[in-house]
Formats: sequence, C-alpha cells, structure tokens
Amino acid sequence: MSLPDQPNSPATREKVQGRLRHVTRAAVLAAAGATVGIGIVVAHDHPGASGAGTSASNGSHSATTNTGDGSTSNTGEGSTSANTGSTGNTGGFSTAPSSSSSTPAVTSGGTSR
Amino acid sequence: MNGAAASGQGSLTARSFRAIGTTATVVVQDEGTADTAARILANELEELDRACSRFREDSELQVVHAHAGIPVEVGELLFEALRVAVDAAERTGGAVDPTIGNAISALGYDADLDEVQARPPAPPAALGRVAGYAHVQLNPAERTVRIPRGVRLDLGSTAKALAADRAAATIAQTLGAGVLVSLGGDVAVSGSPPPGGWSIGIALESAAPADEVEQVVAITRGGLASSATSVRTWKAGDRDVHHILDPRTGDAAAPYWVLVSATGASCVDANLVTTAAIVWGREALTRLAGFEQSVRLLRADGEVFSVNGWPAERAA
Repeated sequence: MSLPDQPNSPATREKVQGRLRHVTRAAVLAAAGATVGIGIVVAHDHPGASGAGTSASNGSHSATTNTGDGSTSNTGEGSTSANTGSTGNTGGFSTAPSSSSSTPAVTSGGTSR
Repeated sequence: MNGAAASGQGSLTARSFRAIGTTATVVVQDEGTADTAARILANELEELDRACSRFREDSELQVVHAHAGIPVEVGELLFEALRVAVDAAERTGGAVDPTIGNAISALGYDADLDEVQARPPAPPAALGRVAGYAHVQLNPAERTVRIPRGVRLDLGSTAKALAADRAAATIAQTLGAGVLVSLGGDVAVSGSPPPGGWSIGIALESAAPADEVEQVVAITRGGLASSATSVRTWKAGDRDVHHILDPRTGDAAAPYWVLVSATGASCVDANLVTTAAIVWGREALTRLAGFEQSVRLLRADGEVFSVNGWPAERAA
C-alpha cells in the first residue's frame, strides 16, 4: 500500500518546486510574448514612435531595441519593433548620430577600392 | 598624395591618398595643418601595414603564421590589433572572427583586391567552419600570441577601424585641433568637432559623390563605420562573392543586408556591429538588442531599418 506524500517530505517539495518552475516559465513566456505583441502593434500603428525622427520615409522602419528584460524584437518579415518602453529620440544612445543638412565631409559605405 | 577640399562645413580641408588597399582621407578645420595631418596618417598606416598585413611577406603577422603552434613575442601595435580582434569576436559571439585567414584565401581573396579581380575566376577550395577566435592565445604579460598550427589570421575588419581610431587620436593630439579620418568609409573623429558636428554621407559606395548619398548624419565623437555586400566583390568560380565571411561556414555571408552603417564610441566599436550584422543576416535586429551602437540597415529589397536611435530618413 502506498502512502500519501508527507507535506514536508523531500519528494513533496520537489513536486511543488517543479510545478512552480513550470508556472513561472509559462508566466515569463506569456509576458514576453505580450511585450513583443504590444511592440509590434505600437510600431505598426505609430511607425514614427520608436525612432529618432517623426517623419519616417516610405520603406523605412525604426526598431528600438532594449536588453532590459531579455525580450527582444520580432524580426519576422515586416515587423519592426520590440520594446514599448522607449519612445525614441537618441536619448540613451550616447553616440547616436544626428540628422545633418550639410554637405558631407566624407562618405561612408562599401569600399570597392 | 592628392588634395581635395571638403565643402559644406565652413573651411574644412581634406587630403586623400591610397593606402592599405583603400582610400585614406583626413579632414581638418585649418588648411595649414592638412599636410601635417596627412603625413601622420600615412605613417600610421605604414606601421599598421607592416604589423598586420596578411598580404605582405615581411609583415609581423607572417612571423606569427610561420611560428604557429608556439608563443611568439610581437610588437605593441600587432598585439593591440590582436587584442581588439579577439575582443570584437567575443562581443559578437564569434560573428567577427580573426581566424578566417585560410577561409578568405580559399574563397580567392589572397592578394590585393585589384589583383584578385583582374585574374580569371577560379572555383573556391573546400570551405568550412573556421578554427575560432578561442584558439588565439594572447599573453599580455609577455606580449606573446600563439595560434594553432595551420591557422592564419585576417585582421582586416578590425585593424582598419583601429588604425582610423589611432590616427585620429594622434593627429588631434599633435595639432591640438579636431580631425576626421576616413579609411575607405570607416570613420574616426577626435578633438573638437566643427559646428554641427562632422557631416558624413551614407551611400552604397564610399566613393559616391556628396550629392548622391542616401542620408547625411553628423557625429561629434567616436566613429562611424559601414559594411556592404554589394561592393568589394570578386568571382569565385561562377558566382560573385564578397569579403565578409560567415565563420560558421567559411563562405561569404548571405547578402540579406546590402549595407549596414553604425556609430559607436570608436570606429572599432562601430565596425564590429556592422560586420556582425552582415553575418547575422535576418537575425541582426534581434542580436543588436545587446548593443548600444546606433545602426542603419539597408535590406536587399530596399527597406531601411534604424536601430538604437539612428535618425529616421527624411521623406523624399
């Protein structure tokens, strides 16, 4: 005859901890999925909201990425953004360039020669 | 050494010349210092070439190759270039790896590009995963490096950016004034910038004239670099290949992005993410979440992506 698990036995503790791990993992995945989902919706509905400028040209996407909680952007075709906490401009990115209307001193691109 | 004046930013003066297989340009704010700046840059590049070139038989790097398997004491510049290359590899999870020397030679890029492009195309030798940067053993105390037997290094990606950083710092310190150095579009600035910052055009080719660039941005410090898959190409058998290798395959990275540009705290800092993004391909936007560099990515279908504060492009 098998005895029921004792409330404080190692076997019971292991079972409970296993369930907790499972529930925690599911909650984290759900939260991450929700964050990405919200980010995509925000980027889709407000395409200028996550970049530095407010006048994104056709065919241009702004993706503000952030490592804060480990959730990152969904890079599937056409999706552009990942994070809902950052609203754009160059704050936080200390070496971000600014737009310029001057004639460039040099050009940066591929180097064929 | 030819001279050219940069326009559009007050009295900027530029000097350009050929070096290390590309075009070197230095831009200063006082015309009277331009020749001195160019001389310093030329000297820096000659030192770099002598230390790091995989094409020169007399380079210090060739001594490391010749003694693969045992620790070799090297000079300060080569040791710094090796340290920067290994650091870039670590920061990019191996996407930018200095142990691609044999792989890029097998793909046909085993001499100056002009020579490679001029000869009849040959099918590539066997390609495969490279040895990996973890096998490069650096000993700072002894200033030695040991690489496995049979491994050859290519420091091209990071060494050029390092040279831009070093030259800009040296010139700014010598002149006591702000300077911009560009090595084939890998840009480093140092000292006080001109009003509005240093304006830099972004284009598929660094040789594009100023009125044909896709975007103009300005930086006041650090560096800006670009990597492209559509230029610096050659024929390997019956296909076109470019110079950015995927260390996992030893082959040219798939051209998901045609041009990636980035700014960073230095030109090295910018260059490592542009090169890595090309290697990462469609995963780049996710991977860049781990970096603070601002990045612009032009996809092969013409779509532009801005990451980490890179300014949006003005509507046409």
